[in-house]
Parts: sequence; structure tokens; C-alpha cells
Amino acid sequence: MKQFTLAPLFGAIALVSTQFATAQGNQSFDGSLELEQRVFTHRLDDAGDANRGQTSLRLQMEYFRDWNNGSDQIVLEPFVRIDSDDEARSHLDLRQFLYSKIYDNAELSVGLGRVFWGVTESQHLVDIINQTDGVENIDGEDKLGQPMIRYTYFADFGTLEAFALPYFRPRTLAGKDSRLNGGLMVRDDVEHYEASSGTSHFDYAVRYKNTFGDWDLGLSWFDGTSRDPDLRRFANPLTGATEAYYAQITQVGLDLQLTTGAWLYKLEAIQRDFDDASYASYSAATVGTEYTLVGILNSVYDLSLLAEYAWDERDAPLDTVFQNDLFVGARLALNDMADSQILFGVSNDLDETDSRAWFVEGSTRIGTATTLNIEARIFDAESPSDPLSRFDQHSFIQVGLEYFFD
Amino acid sequence: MIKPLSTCLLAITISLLPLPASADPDSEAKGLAIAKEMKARDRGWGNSQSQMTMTLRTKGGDEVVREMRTKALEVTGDGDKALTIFDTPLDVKGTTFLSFSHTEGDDDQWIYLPAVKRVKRIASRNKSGPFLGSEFAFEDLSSFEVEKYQFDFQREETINGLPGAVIVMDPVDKYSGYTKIIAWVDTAHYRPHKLEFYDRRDTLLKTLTISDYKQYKNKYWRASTQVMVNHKTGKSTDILLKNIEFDVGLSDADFNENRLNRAR
Repeated sequence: MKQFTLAPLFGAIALVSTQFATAQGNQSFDGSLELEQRVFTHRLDDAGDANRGQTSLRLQMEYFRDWNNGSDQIVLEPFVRIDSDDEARSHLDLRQFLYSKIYDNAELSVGLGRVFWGVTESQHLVDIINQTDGVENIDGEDKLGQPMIRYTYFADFGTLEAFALPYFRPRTLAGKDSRLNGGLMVRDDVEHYEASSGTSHFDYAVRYKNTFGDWDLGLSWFDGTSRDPDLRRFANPLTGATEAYYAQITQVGLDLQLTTGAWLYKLEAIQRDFDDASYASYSAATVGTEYTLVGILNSVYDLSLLAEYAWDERDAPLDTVFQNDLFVGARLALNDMADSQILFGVSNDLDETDSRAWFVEGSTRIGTATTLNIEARIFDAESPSDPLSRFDQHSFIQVGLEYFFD
Repeated sequence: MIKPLSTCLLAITISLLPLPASADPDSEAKGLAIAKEMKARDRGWGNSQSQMTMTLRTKGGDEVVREMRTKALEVTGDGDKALTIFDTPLDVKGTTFLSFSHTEGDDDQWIYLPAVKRVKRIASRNKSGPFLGSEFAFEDLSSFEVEKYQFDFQREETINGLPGAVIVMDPVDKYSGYTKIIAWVDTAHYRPHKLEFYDRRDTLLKTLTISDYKQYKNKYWRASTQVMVNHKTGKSTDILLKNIEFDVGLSDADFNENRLNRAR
């Protein structure tokens, strides 16, 4: 299991939390435990145990406490996964361990936090504060807790946020035993940094957010260590063994949403510049729309239709899988007592027209405190020039039972 | 040239409008007066919060209980602001729903998803859609605004021992799920006691019974029990409100979509 040291931050939080002893306030504790079984659709000759699929247990909890009439808050969110086969996937993390001071027009937070920026569904270009927890899933939705000092100011002209990020967390990557490692053997615990200070490099970010009637606008700026590892710089083409390299970047981001009637229109765009001249600056964007039909076919079901187009200036397929891709999907909410819903989608590479990635995610409640979660990812990409082809034999179906407690 | 054209367009527009349930201007004026009095008597409440238990029942007797807390802020000259924080079932705990209701046009709605720490602005043309699988539609739970309906007085009727009136409410919004709502309102305190909802085919879809009224701040009446029965499916939903409190110090800052992650 991976460890990281943040002794000074924890010390500061511990100091603040000593105020608990005498303070009045609210507190809550809850969490969930999920048992997951992943089954792969193809057997592989050399996959050994991994052919069986993966069995996995995930536990996450949240403890919250406030005092001084809610103006002081602390949140602690531990996370543990134990995986039967992939050693690199067994990991623990603190998703959050954050102290916040709440003022009338401002907030100050210190510790490990989680921040989301953006509006689109198929990929999150603008969202950059937190590192992706890459062993959790390949959709990039899971994030590691990020050490931060965050100051937010709520003004009439919008919300302004400033971040100082004193510590970098490398991405967790699927290990040699995982069938979802994309054919790359990334050496764990060996990372290279452009910054001489390595993980201790201070990153900074600023964001402005406001709502203008039907429009929601976000503008962001980030300067520091890229969250995306370069896995090619240290790759051995013969063995597939590689080590992660993290460059220094400056990124400007824009996210925009128009909400009108039953329609949502979305845009995310970034411009990324590198300090290292061996990397070229590039732009990338996602545009999309979402339309919701209420009560389809005289039922109580709601159906949302999604379409998003992703463009990336980099045309080398190994740089990104989203260089010219169309995503279409549908979300069906049954509006039943079990809150059943299902999301279906397919990404189509418009340059590699035979390349498609399908997914289905669904959930329903059983009883009062358990949900049944299903997920399937089907990869259909045979052309060797297509980065998705590395997953072609690794389509899977996953079933999870999640128990909630408090 | 412009004037005759616009007059012509106006004439076409009027001829395309559906005929109101009654063409009697006197009964319409009387209905509107009752609605205005309902709104007037409820003006000035400021801000409030309460705990809500929603029990969903199927015809067969299966039930699920949802617990949530609501915070509300009166907005002068427009619809109110409301924040709903879900407590149970545990898989939706921490989910927060923010709504700015408007007298004209669509409401503004945001949802906070705690698992991904994401605030999403959502399309609000879901007025006719069910709220969390219950028999209440979004439009049944949004704030009562005179501008949202055309009114027509039907008759006087004694309601729960009080003098009262039966009025027909025609939703102005074409995205409403109802052709009409018949309301039983007492004219002692101008409170609704029963509502009948008629669907787009003009048949009786649901009946809402409102009871256990209590007065707050010596002026404002709030019911702690609402029972909605769907006549087509046999399903029903009870809403029980408790710990209703006024003047709890809420302001616009508590209804800021950028602070939804702080709502507890």
C-alpha cells in the first residue's frame, strides 16, 4: 500500500481539532462498504489468476463536525480498497481531512480537500486540483485528496477562489497484475519530476465563477505540476516497463453552461503551456448538450439524452484518446421507490471509426440501506494505432453490493 | 403598416388560446381575489426551516421513508428560494437540492452530489415530473404564486366547519402536468384544505388533503400533514412536517449555489 507523509498538515489540523473537547455543535458519521465482482469477457493465455476477474472490497466513511454555530467545520473521509488480484489497486487514502472557517462572505480551508470544476460528463478537462485515483476506475471520476490552502470569497460580482497546493500526489496507476493497465508496466513508487523540488513543489490556482441568468461561467488558471503523467518519456519499448514523469505546466480553463428549458448546453476548454520546450503547447475542448424528456411514454420515467464532442489539438494518438471523439449517451431515471437509474453511453473515435468504448452504469436500492450497482465497459478497438486497442481484450462487467451505515 | 399587422397577430394569438373554463368575469375576479388574499395573508414570513418525513406507499402496502430538512427564504416580488437536504435513505444522504422559484418562466435548480463533490445546474422544465419517486410533482411543492394560475370561483362550501370556497385554478405554464386544479379554501384564514389535480386528459389524477394546521408568529398557518393519493396507480405519499421554525437567521448567502457543499 502506498503511503505519503503530510505530518505538518495533520499537525495543524490536530491542533485545531483540540477545540472539540469543549465546543458545542453538530456532528455526523456515515459510510458505505461495497463488495464488487469484476468479470472479464475474454480469457487470456498469459493472464493467469486475472482471468477469474477481480473481487474487491471498498470502505469509505465520513465524519463531520462543526462548532461555533457552524463557523468552524472539520470533515474526515477515509477510504480503503482491498483487491483480490491487483496489488496496486489495494490502497488507502484520505479523500478529505479538511478544516474550514466559514465567514459571511468568505471561507478558508486547510488540509486535504476535494474540489470539482466543470460542466461536461464524458471527460473533465478543466478539473485540475485533485489527482485522479487511476486504480479505482478508468473513467477518471475518482480523485485523491489534495493538500491545500483554499480561500473563497463570495462577492456580488461572483465567487473568487485562490488555492495554494503545497504537496503533489502522483497518480495511482494499475499494476502489472491488472488487466486494465493498458499494457504498460508502470513502476510503482518511482516518479520523475521536472521540478527539482519534486512532490514538494508549490502549485497555485485561481478560479472565478458566476451565474448570469441562464448562464454559468467559470474561468480558471493553474500553475504547477501537471496531474497527467507522461508514461512515454521513460518507457522501454521492448518490455513495456515505464516510469511516470510529471512536467510543469500553466493551464487556463473556461467552463460554460447555458440552461434553457429542457436543454443544457456545455463547453469546457483549456490551453496548456509547458515550461519544458520538448512539449508543445496545446488547446483542447469539449462541447455538449443534454436534453431531458419528462414522463416518457406516459410513464413517470425521465430520459436525458446526452451528446458531447471532444477535440484536442494534439493529434498523436498516444497523447490523448479524446482528440476527435463523439460521445452519445442516455440516462434513464425510473423515479421509483428504489431510486433506480441507468446511464448508457458510447464514445466513438471519429478518426478510428472502428473504435468504440461502450459503458452502462446502473443502480437500484434493495431494502433500506443497500444498493445494487452494475457497470459494464465494452472496448471495441482493433487498430494498433488506436490507444483504445490496448483495452480491446479487457471488456468487463462488474456487479457491486453496497451497504450504507451511519 | 406595423399597427394593422400586430393587431392581426394578436387576433390570431387570441383565437389559438384555449378557452378558459369559465367566461364569467365576475367569478374569475372573485377567484382571483381569494387567491390574492391567500398570498397576502402569507406575506412577510421571512425565513423558515423544518424537518420533513416523506412516506411513499404502493397499492400493495410497500413503503419507503425519506427524511429531509428544508430551509426556505421568502423573496419579495418573485418566487421563494428553497433548500432541501436529504438525510435518508442513506445512499442519498448529503444530496442537496436548491431551487429558486419564479413567478414567470422556468425555475432555477441546482443539485449537489456529495460523492463527486459536484454542483450541477439542472434543467427545470421537470415541473410535471415526480419529486423523488413520490406522488408529488415538482410543481406541487414549489411556492404558491398568484401569477402561475388563472382562477375561477365555483361556489361557497363549508370546509372542516369553516366558511370556505371552491375555486378552479388553471396553470398558466404550458409545461404543467395539469389542465386544472380544484381547491377547497377556507375563507376564515384563507388556507387550502384539499386540492384535486386533473391530468392533461382532464380526468381526476390525484387528491391532496392538507391538515393539522398550526399558527406561527401569530399570523402564518402551516400544515404539518399532507397526504397525496394517486387515483390511477393507487399509490400515495404522506408528507409530515415537524420542528417548523421561523426567523432562523437565513439569508441569500444560505441559498448560494456556490456554497451548496456547505449545506448540512
